[in-house]
Amino acid sequence: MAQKRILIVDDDPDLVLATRLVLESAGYAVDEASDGESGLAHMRQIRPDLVLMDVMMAQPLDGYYTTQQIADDPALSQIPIVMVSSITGSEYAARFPTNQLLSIREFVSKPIDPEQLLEKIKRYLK
Amino acid sequence: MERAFAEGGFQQLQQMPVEYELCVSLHWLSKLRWIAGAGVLAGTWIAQRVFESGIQALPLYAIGVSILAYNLLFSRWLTQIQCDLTGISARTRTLARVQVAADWLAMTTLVHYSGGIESPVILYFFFHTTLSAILLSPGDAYRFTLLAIGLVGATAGLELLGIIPHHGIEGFLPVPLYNSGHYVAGLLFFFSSTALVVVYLATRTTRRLREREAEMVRLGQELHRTLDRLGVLYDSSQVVSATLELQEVLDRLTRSTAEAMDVKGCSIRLLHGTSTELCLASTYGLSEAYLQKGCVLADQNPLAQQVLQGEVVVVPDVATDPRLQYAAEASAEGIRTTLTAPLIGKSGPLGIIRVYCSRAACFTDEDTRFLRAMANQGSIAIENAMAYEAIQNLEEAKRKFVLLVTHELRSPIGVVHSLLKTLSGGYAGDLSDVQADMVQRALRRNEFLQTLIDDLLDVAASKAGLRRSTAMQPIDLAMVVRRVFARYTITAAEKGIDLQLDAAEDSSAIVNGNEEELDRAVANLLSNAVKYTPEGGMVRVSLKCQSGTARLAIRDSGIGIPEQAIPRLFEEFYRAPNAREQVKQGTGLGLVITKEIVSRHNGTIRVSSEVEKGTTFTVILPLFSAGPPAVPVR
Repeated sequence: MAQKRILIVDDDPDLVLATRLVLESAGYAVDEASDGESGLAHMRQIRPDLVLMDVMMAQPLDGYYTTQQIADDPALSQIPIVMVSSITGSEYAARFPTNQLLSIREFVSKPIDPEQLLEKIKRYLK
Repeated sequence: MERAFAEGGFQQLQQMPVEYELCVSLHWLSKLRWIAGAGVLAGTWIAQRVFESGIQALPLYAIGVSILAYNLLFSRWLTQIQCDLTGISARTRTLARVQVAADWLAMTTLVHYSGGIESPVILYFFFHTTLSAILLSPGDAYRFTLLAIGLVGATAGLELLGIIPHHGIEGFLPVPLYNSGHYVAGLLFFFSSTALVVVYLATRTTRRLREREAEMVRLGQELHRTLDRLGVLYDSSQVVSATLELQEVLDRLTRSTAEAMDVKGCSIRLLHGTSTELCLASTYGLSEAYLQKGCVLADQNPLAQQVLQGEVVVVPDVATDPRLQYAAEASAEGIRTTLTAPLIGKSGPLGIIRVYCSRAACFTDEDTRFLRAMANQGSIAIENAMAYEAIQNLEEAKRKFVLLVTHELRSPIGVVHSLLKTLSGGYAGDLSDVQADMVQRALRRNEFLQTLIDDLLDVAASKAGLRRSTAMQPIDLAMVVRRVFARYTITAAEKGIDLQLDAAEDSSAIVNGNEEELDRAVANLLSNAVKYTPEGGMVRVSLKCQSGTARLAIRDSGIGIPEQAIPRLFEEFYRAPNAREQVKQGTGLGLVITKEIVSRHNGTIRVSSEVEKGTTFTVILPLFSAGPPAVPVR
């Protein structure tokens, strides 16, 4: 089976490093992008098997808007997205629109537990 | 009367009561004339009895009858004239003159046939002249008086000269007087002078009376209007002050002012912050096109400057006034005059309020005073609304700050956690024992940091009053206690602590509160109890309801709290010395948070303790009742 590629879209380099280590040790190939725009560009070039998307990056709700664009692009809309956020349970969660159908499989809240993350990814890559 | 006023002019008012009275008097005079006519007839009949053939009764009866006759005519004429206040036609004046003239002629004839200059009836002329002075204009009164003098003089003179016959009453006077030139002249002289003096006094008095009357009416009107305006002022200030929303206040103010002053429109311009720009903040009654006008620079506009210094300024003609910046637009809007007053608050000028009138010469001194009063009231309301807005902004700023800090502080702690977890999980390579241990320690401290931040932010939010609007509803405290209890059974068992819950299975204690917070408070206390009780100890949780309160008691057999520590127990970061010694982990914030929560629920918390024997915390909360909610303790 070909190696699965995972794209991490997150503007925090430390978090990307930690996640990369975890994913690579589990045998995944990892690409990274630091914002929604370059993430999209990357996705169009090299189609990943799964995307780990941060909600709040340099632009607030960048992750959400990028996900909308992914959903609108027929070439990309099939790729599973796991959203990573630090906002669940706080005021910002109220701002998150829930009336759209997006290809988000799951919300994971920071800080991420390595075991849990690997388990979820395995599930969605099936 | 009001309409007369509206037509404008004090002169008209001066005439009104006179004319009204004239009209009424004519009716009354007509009635009086019936009596006069009857009196003549009766008098003649009596005189006939007394003087028998000495008196020529026939002409006298004829006069009496004709008086009655022309009175009938007059009263017919009069029924066509309604006396009302809207004005008197020239017809009534004419009628009055005609009547007086007719009366005069009747009088003269009566005098002539009752002895001419010898007749006592002459004296009745004074009655008539006085009446004419009261009823007619001074000019007419004098004229008629002169006419009377003329008639009497003519009668006497002609009789004296023998040109007309004398009809004396035989037996009335011992000697005839009509032919005495001296007597006639003398009597005429005194008659004339008396008549003139009488008419003079009467007209003068009447005029003064009229003036007083008119003045009183005018004052009454003014008072009425002032009361009306005061009423409007009060009502509108109630309306304006009933809201604290700034835009509401401004809109209500423009509307009330325009309505109260019965003008086309009203606008308010406010000074923007520290700049000297005066920008439209609210308008009423003006078109959209007019509202497109921009802000006015206060220091470049002499009118605005004048107003902002405290004056109320009238622009009597918008089209030609050089002070107006938007004269063309104003004229197009149909505005001819404006009145502008300053809005001055305690902190200084706030802006200006302007009313627009479509008539020329629209504003009186009274209007100026009124607008000033409205502006003063309005300024108070505006300042209040602004202050309220500032407070709300402050609250909002506080809230945003706490949220921001929450997020900003939690974020790096989360990242550190991820990094350490990655490390400790061996994902960056195997770790030596020492390395693994160190990473674990770092992880623990990081977790502590997480808890500390959470607690700190909780306390800060609480102190900043941001927790005040937490949703409160009836919560079953017993259920919360049971739930929290269940969470600690394992921990207690691990530590060999005997944990007991002393509350019936199905008991309930309904309090008004927030479930999450109550959970937190109970958990804090229970966690403390378990934490500070050594192995083999015991913790008892009991919940009772009595006299309208719920009493939760958590008793442990732990390390206890020294007496000197008890007063400081609920301070931030305070940990009793023995607590710090025995249990390393502790933020010192748990009890502060618990106390804040209890306080928000209108309850109290008490502690009693003995070192190395144990501690009991008691929380008392009021039970929920369906009655009116208690005022929050804060």
